[in-house]
Amino acid sequence: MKTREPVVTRGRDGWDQTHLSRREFFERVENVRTAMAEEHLDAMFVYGRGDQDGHLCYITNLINKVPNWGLLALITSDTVILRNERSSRTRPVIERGTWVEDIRFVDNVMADIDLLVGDFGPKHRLGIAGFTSLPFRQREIFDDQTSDCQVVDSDTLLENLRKEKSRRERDQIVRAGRILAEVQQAIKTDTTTSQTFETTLQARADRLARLRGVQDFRFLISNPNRTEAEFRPAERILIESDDPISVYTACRYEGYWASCARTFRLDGETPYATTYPEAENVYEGFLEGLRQSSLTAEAVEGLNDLIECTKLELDTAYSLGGGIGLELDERPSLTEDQGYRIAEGTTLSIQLPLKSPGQELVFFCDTIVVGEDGLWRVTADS
Amino acid sequence: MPNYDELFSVLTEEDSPDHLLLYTDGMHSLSQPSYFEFFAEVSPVASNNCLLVTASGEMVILTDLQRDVERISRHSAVEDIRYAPGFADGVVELIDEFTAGDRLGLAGGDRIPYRVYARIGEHQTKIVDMETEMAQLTREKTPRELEVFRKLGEIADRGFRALYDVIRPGMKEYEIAAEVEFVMRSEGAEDNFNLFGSGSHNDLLHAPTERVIDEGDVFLCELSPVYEGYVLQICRTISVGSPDQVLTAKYGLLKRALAEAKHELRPATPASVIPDSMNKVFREEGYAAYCKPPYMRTRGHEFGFGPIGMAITEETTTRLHEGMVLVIHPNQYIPETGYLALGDPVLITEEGSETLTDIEPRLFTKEVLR
Repeated sequence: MKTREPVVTRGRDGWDQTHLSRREFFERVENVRTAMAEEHLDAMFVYGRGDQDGHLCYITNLINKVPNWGLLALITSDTVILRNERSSRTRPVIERGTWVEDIRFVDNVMADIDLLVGDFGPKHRLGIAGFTSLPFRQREIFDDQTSDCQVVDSDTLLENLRKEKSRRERDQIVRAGRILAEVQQAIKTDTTTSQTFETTLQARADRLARLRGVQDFRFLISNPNRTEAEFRPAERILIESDDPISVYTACRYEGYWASCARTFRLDGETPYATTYPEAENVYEGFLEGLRQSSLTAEAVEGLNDLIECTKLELDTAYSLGGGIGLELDERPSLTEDQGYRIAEGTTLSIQLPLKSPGQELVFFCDTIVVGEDGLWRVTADS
Repeated sequence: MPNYDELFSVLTEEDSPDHLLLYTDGMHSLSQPSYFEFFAEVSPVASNNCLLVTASGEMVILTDLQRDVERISRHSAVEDIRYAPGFADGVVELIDEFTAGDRLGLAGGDRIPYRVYARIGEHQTKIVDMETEMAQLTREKTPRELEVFRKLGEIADRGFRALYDVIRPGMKEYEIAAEVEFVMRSEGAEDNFNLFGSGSHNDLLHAPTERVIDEGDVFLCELSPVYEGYVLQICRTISVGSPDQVLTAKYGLLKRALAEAKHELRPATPASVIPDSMNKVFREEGYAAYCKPPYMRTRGHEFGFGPIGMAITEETTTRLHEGMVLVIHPNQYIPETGYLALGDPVLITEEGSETLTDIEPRLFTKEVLR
């Protein structure tokens, strides 16, 4: 789910190098080169900025500490070059956080780009990935300097390489998920008063997640008793003990995201006495459907069948979720990519927004990992 | 509430464009102001948002996140708020609906995505950069803004006190950051640009790392809480355990440099008086060669809406004016001690200046209990 991005990513940025070994880095680069060769690409430019940095992180293991600034990687048959934008304060972190050796620190990733593209001409095909988040002025510079070349959108090339997560990647997502499960449990139970401000609830959750070592933490809340029902950033609004709140949290641990959401009341009672149990049954049925299905379309069809037997309906302001990993929102989308095969290596953030005819919203979100033993809900309540 | 009359008047000047688009990608940047946030009075969540303003006083907000529409509506004085899943097309439709001319003023364009910019260009709309005009409009601080800066000072104070209370050997930098952030968020901060440094000899400040604090460390902090879109900053140094005489003596230079600079602050004075007075202190002690990068960065910044703004160097010709908010910091690398940090946020007043935080400008010592 879309959240606000921080001005600086100030959580733990340690990197256990066993979790992206030098061997794996070179394997990833070779996989990219093999895919490039199949597409007859002479070079690949990969850009990352803010939350849209999955491709960049996949290759370099880096996330930008200042999300507003960009990183650009260039891969050719014999080089990997990394350009970092305006990152003098984060230089030590960048240099020790990646296996890429040729790292350049620049004010603007596209400044003097001719130095990188000067050798390419009309006979060359250049792939670009992650460029949707590239600001237009920088894109204009790139287009101008590569006007002689064929430039090919290569997002799908990298999406395909990233789609199925390795055992190690799944483990990272599991670790992120465990932290979130603990955070969600803590914010449901750790209230010393019957009232608390939304911002205080967020501050507690943020603190706990950061002490557990996350790089980044996100928080959204819905409180239809106080404001509009939709998820939004926390505000200095008092939550009463019987308010039916929904809290969405996400965290990034060593590059990998997990997300989780629950609807609850601070006094520990179940919100919406009739709607909630019915919604919970539908959710459990949806999860079971995912376990039994081989295609996402089958699970979604099963979900619709479950909902039809109730008085509930889907809140179409939200999707059913999709892939999760190095980005919060990856392909496949459960709503749009119906033919996606659920298999070992699949990692999903599933969402189920259900509402009653009285517009009571019950929201579930969990991170799912499919391993060799099947589907596992890694953010399940402990 | 922002002065919308002033905003509309920008579009009625001779040669001005016919309408103005204030764009934001929703990312909170400390290097670029968001005029969308300033005039819409809300920080959006969506990746694409804009406020269209016409010379006749019409205003429309467009966002590509449906669930943010009601929240924006609750916070903003702008009444017409629309959801556009196809943002680029939505912008063009707005231009068609509200305007007759073909010139579009744009602010926030540095981060506008290519496909949006290209779509506007396809529409044969000539884009006119209006960053300078928007910077002028937002330059004067309103009483409300000064209230926000005072609140930020309180938040920064509490953040530092929390940091001082928790720091001890064995903690990791990011754990300290978590505890400080908890306090600042509980006080109302919506974000923080916190930089730390720790070790016996620091080279610079950086985002918090896994480094474990040890007795004997010199711990540097630059706390920059964000509140209602505004930023303020305080810089301090903590000795973990008793400081040695060299550290105490050299930190005295920073204290003197800060005091000398504060003494010079008054309206109409060139901002360069800040680095001039600070550098004089260091030069007199034989550190002239260190009064330039990479041994220091700048001697301060102005704060406006959103970003850490104009960096203050010896070449800065801007004159201080009443109502200006700055951080002045003689942060300095000294070869005997490493990098040291000291900085105070100040408000330029009619008579001189007012420090916006209460934390004493001194070297702090955190006793190590055995």
